Amino acid sequence: MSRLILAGLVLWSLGVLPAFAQAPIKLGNLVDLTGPTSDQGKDIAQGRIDAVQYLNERGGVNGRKIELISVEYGFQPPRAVAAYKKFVEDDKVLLVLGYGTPDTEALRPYITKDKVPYLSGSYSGHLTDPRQTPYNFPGGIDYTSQIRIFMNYVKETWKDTSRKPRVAFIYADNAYGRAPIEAGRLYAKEIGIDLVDEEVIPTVLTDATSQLLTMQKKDPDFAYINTNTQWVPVVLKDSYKLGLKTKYVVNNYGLDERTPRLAGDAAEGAIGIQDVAFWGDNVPGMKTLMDFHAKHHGSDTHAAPYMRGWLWVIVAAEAIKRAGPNPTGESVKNALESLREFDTWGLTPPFTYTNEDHRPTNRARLVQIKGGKVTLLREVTVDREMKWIGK
Amino acid sequence: MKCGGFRVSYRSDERMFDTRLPVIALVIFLVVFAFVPRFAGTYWLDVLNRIGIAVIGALGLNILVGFTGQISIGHAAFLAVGAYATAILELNAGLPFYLAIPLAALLTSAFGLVFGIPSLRLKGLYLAIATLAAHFITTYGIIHWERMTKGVLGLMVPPATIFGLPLDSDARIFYLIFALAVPAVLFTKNLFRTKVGRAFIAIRDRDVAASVMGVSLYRYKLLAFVISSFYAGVAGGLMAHHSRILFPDAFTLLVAIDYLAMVIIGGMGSILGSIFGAVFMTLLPEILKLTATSLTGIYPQAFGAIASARDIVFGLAVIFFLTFEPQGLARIWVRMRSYWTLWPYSY
Repeated sequence: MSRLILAGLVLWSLGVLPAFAQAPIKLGNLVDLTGPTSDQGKDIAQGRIDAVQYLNERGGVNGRKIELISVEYGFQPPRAVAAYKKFVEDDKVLLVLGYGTPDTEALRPYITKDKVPYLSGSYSGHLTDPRQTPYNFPGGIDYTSQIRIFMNYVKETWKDTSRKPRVAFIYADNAYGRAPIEAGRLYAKEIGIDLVDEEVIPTVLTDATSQLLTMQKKDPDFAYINTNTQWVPVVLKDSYKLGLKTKYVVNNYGLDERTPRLAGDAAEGAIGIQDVAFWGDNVPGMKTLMDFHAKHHGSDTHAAPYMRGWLWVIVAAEAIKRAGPNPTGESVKNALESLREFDTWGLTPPFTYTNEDHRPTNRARLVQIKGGKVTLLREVTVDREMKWIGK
Repeated sequence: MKCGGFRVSYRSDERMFDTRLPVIALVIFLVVFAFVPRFAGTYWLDVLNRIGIAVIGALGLNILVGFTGQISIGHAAFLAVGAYATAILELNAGLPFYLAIPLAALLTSAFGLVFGIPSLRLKGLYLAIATLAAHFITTYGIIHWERMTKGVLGLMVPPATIFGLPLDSDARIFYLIFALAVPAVLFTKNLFRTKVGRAFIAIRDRDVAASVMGVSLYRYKLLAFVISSFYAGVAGGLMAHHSRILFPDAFTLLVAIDYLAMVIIGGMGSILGSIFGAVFMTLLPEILKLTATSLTGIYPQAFGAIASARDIVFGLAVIFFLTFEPQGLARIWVRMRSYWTLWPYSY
């Protein structure tokens, strides 16, 4: 019996003792591991956990350890709201590493009221205007900028002077899929591109034939796909099967190094907008990541979302470091807004948040799948026009 | 303390509580309960509030499934109608919540009436599939009637306001939820002491026999749907004010299954069972989540495995409880109670 108590005490102290040393900095960690975006969530969670462990092994931030409070929410906004309440009211986290667009957009009023910096995996343009959402920080190039990059690309590559290029949008039926669509319609009109069709696909996609057949009648030259890596191949394969001539451009969450394997020949020629370095890319921080990975769990493999997990922890840690020894929600927010061309270990183009613009960057890479490999097409920049902010 | 029913008059037969002890216990419980928001954290209040809402919803479904024997998997749809109707009445017609919730509940009743019509011809699994239609039609309606419901983008609901006091925190909405949950329980308890309730039970046990005895199947089957969806409407209205954000995703088929599970795990045809079922089905995922979160505090690398194991444990727990006591938690409770009250002379 006494041995049991002893064992219990040891277990208990394992969890509690470090708290006596110095209170850790708590961060909320919201991810989807079981829902329709688990293709991203699994690697994002692993990346965040690894990055935190990496930082803690090096003494944490300002001498304090970081503690992740992890909650899995299955991409269901109501469960995200419950998790958020727990983070803020019970755990009193300093900052939340958020996740999807439906939940992040729904939480906007709470986040603003509670003054909790919210660094989200959602890059929705609706989160980029600090006048409306001062505590929301999208963790990458916003979807509105991405859809503009797509249309700039169409405009630049279009050589036929007899008619305007025709484009279509294919997007998931949720707040994430729809986020940039309104802005996309406006931008198409502005730069003289014919938006001929919009196809809404279910969040969980098993077949896109009927949508593609409708789209085929409008005969778009280019189509922009706004959904996740595990569902984009369904569109590409069905399109391949139907023999459509349309060229596809996919947003950052829809195409990564896994796409050629998932879609096979159908992926050939598809273009992706890349926000973050892929596994093994030649960027300064990659060696650290790969070494850490090899040391702790070398047997598994990871894709782009893993790098995003690291990226957001690196950005959050930098802001907390700049906020000094007693960080508050407000001081961390101000620290985030003081980032100027901040080097994210080269995982992304440098980040700049200001108190007028929460779009972290206006640069991305265009990649294309050629011969079963993702190859760099070119680097692109889009104007930081203020009229697109918050859209 | 007593160990049997000694009813010698109609008066004692009609009594709601056999002895005074449960009445006193209930009053003390409610008084203590009223002070919960003073010391409970927001997270636990949030859980309690969700339990309160689930109790109302589960009672409604139990009236239909457990007491009248009409299987419905359209309950999530009824909840959704109640929630969206409340929100839309408040946002577009400017009604205060104390008018909007009852009106929305009446609207949900009418909706339930329409989708109850197949029950006049269909039974069992066939009826279940017919009520499935209610679910898909509602979901489609919510997603595509964007002008009113904002579709998949979600509808923001302003806090309920009473005498200028916004019920915008979990502590405040707690009182509204339980001010409705307690009467809902009492009303249900009373319902089954009336002609209507007895007719429901008669239909469940053998509808042909009931109709021979003069129970109008037409009227009472539809009435069961009406009453059941009224509860769902109220629960939905409270959901709208509790989460203050409405999404079609909050009312998936899984929600309907969850409510069925509450009724089955709690105890079919038992009021106490509805409460136990609601508590169990709301609390178990939370407890598993907390366990997962605290375990990942110790083993952060195992987060993925632990989070996925949660669903497995949940499924196993449900199977375990069903096998262990098919008559539900209410039955376990009765057995436990009689074990203690009759000890050492239990029979």
